[in-house]
Amino acid sequence: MSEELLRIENIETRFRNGKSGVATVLDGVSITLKKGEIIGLVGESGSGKSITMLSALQLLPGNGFVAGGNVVLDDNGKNLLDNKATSRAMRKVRGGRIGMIFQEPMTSLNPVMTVGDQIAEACIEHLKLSRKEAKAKAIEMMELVKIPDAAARYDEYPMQFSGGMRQRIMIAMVLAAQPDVLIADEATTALDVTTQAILLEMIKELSVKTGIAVVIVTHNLGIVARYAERIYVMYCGNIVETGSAMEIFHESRHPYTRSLIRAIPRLDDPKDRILVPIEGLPPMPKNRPKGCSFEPRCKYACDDCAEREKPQLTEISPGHSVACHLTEEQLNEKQKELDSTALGSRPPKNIREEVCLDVENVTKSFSIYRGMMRHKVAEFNAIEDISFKLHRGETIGVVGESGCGKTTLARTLMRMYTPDGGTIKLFDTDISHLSEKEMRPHHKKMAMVFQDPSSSLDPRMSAGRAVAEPIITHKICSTKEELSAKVDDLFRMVGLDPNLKERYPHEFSGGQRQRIGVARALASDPEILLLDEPISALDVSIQAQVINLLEDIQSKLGLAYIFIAHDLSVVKHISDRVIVMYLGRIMEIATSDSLYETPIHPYTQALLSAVPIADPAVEKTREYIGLQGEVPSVLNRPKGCPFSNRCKYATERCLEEIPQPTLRENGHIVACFNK
Amino acid sequence: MAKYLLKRIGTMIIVIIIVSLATFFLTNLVPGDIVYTVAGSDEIDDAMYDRIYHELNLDKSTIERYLIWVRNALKGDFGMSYAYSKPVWELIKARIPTTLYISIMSIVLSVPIGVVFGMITAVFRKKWPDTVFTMIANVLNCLPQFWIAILLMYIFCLKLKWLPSMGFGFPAKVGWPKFIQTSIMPIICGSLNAIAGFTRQTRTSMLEVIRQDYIRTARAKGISERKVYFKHMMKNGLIPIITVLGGRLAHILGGSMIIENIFSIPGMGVLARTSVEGKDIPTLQAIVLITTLVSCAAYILTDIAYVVVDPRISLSESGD
Repeated sequence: MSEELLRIENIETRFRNGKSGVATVLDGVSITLKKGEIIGLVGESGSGKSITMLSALQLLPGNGFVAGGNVVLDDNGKNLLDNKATSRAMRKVRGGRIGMIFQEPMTSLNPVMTVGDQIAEACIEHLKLSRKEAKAKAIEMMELVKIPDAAARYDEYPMQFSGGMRQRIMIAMVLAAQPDVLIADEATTALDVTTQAILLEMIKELSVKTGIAVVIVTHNLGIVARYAERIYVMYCGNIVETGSAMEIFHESRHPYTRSLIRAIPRLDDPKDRILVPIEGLPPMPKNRPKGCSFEPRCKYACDDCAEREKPQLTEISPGHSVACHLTEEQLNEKQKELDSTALGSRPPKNIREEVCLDVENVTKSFSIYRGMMRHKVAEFNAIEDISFKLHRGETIGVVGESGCGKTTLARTLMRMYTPDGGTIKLFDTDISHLSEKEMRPHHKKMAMVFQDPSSSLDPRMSAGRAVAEPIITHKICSTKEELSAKVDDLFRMVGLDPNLKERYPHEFSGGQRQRIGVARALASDPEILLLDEPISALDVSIQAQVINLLEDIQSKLGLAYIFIAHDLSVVKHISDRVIVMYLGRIMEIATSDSLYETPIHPYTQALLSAVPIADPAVEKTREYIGLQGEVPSVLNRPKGCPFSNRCKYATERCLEEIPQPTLRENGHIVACFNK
Repeated sequence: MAKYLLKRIGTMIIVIIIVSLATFFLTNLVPGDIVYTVAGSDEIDDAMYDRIYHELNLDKSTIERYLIWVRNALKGDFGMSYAYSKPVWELIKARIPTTLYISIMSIVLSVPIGVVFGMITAVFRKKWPDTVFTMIANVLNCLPQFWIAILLMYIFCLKLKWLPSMGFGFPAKVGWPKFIQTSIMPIICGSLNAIAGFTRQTRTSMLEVIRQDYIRTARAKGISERKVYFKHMMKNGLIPIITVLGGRLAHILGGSMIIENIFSIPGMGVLARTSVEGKDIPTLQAIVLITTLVSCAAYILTDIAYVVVDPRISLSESGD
């Protein structure tokens, strides 16, 4: 199986930009792929990982072009890039030999063509089948990717499928042409973690069964640790390190790889692990340093790193190559130095007895209106019977897949929605049914940080004004000077220079914008911060910066956090206790350590096993609990336990009756009859 | 689909009722005594006055008169034209084919030309064909119809003396050569603006579609560029074009006013003008009602076209 299948050699890709001229986005990238193997291509957004694959297939957007390099298939000495992008020879390879699936399942399928036709089109093009044969083949492919009722769903349109199902269609479409290479470009990033695991397992299975080679392009280190045999690490348009999965995760020699591994939270982290963020930002393609592009952010860099030429990828052991000037000794010495001057341990948490938020049996329902007169046709509970207590200084994480009611919960707690049942006690006041006017003095005690820092800040309001707004609304400062001083303090607290006050949101990077979001939330001196997916829009190297910032602020101000996210590793890292939600109900509440070690609820177990851990050695020993089916819509919630239709332990009783949360061993609160 | 159509037709009936009410009661606002207008003179005796008064049902309440008018209109009886002293329906029946012919021919001519121009500008974006065709479209879009009409008349009638400057007749009446000769200028005049509109709309919507992810998917599949354009792009880009087309169709009666009056074509546009000038209320009422009917029909056709082109619409209708 060591035969070479695809070789990408020294690809150089540039983009024309209207004003700033030409930017080199790929600076000599080489990748080889053997028959039947699974390789991973990891890097942050902007590192050029997708562009590498698009360049090889000549699928670049209009302003991009390949300035040099070779793409050789089957080691036959012919450069594919000599063919024009639209030529027959290139088209035969593209789709026929190398198939690619993309990130956005919602927009990557043609909305006005039936899914069957879109799959059949590939068969007609590459296998020269007749229309009828193509249809049969398409249905066969749909069955292969486990789409239920494939024949009946052939004539349906993409909008009738869920995100996970659409991505299956994409896979079916690509595999229909029987290619030798499958490129999965962030193919599962937009999906829920259980769906992601199901799809990746399926791709792996298909790879074993059909011998297709797979390139997984992703920013998620966990995924490559679990699935890839070899890994390429990209930074700023260069491959900085390549080697087997074990080499990359355990013997990495490039400072970037090392830093990245130290920056990401893992599901199996010990409680007191401190993330070491990579400071700064990746440079833009047009102002990359002449030498090593990671040097400005590199903690290992020597004095002469900046002056020297760009380091070339050199083999240090068979199959393991690194592009770095440092020798192993230099690197290890620096590592010792860094370890000894480590950031100290995390300041001890100060969780007090005092309950600042007491939520009891909160339910929020929404109605669906239809028809010309907009009459109510249905009502569903987005969240049901939610109860928990938040203590002062504590962080409660809320996890669950999309549609589980996390955001509805946050909005109900903020009283953007009025709950239909239950009580929300903020300190001593029940705020669940206060009028807007009565609510006003309570609002400042709770503040929210939103997911997308680029759209949740008013683009026409300077950063300083955005931060000052809550202070003015709640009349916290009496004079202008006081206000200005307070805004400066807030800027410093979130690690921003107060001189940036006059700038507008678009002038900041994503991480900085989220810092502004945090500063704004802190402006009214709240007691509780609701963080709704605060870091999921940020790059991996930036996430650690924001996580650490939030932890620092908490220990300084003694705030209580409700941290909502779909990323379990992050939630586990930051939270003291974790609430697992499914279809609007709480399945399990537990301290973050015991949740990972001894999950009780079958859903929690499945969810945890779906999250890949960025360590191939750990991954080998883990067992993956496959889930069947998909999360049902809240409109057809099962009658009994919401999880009953996907649970392998489900009994008659589970189908009929809703289990109530009860206290179990290790202080877990679990809603399940059987466990 | 059937449910969707029924719903649209229901809305259309409501619109027509509202418009008929508005036009009917508008006549009550017209200054002067209608009886004199009908009689054609102020010098009539009381007996004559009373007779006309009764004929017009003016002794009955406004509501009653409206109901009588609706009942008659449903039977195709819109009353007698005051100006022509002929049944209104006969006047309209004689003119509608001419107007429909000229307007629909203009659209039939402008859609393919506009769409092709638009595709060219989108495919060759930022290259010279884009600049040239976009410029032509912009110029055409700015020229007022009456000015184009006068220009055409100056060139083809006065200078070249190829075409007659006025009149129009169907082949059955005036023979084929005359029919074609008299058709040319009004149709060109009516389609130039439309071509510009369709070119611009096609360009915008194709450029929108061209950068969608599913176009990249189609290319990644390895199908030919021709298939990418005509199978994947076209259908997606058609929706905004249908919207523009629907708008054009809805205004064919109203839009014919200028052209018909300039080229002296005996159509609905001319009839509308004379009925306004002569306070010919029954004719005016009938024209407004028929115009509404045509507009509504055009919008329903547009909606059906949407459903045919875009499955998302009928599908989301059941979930909306």
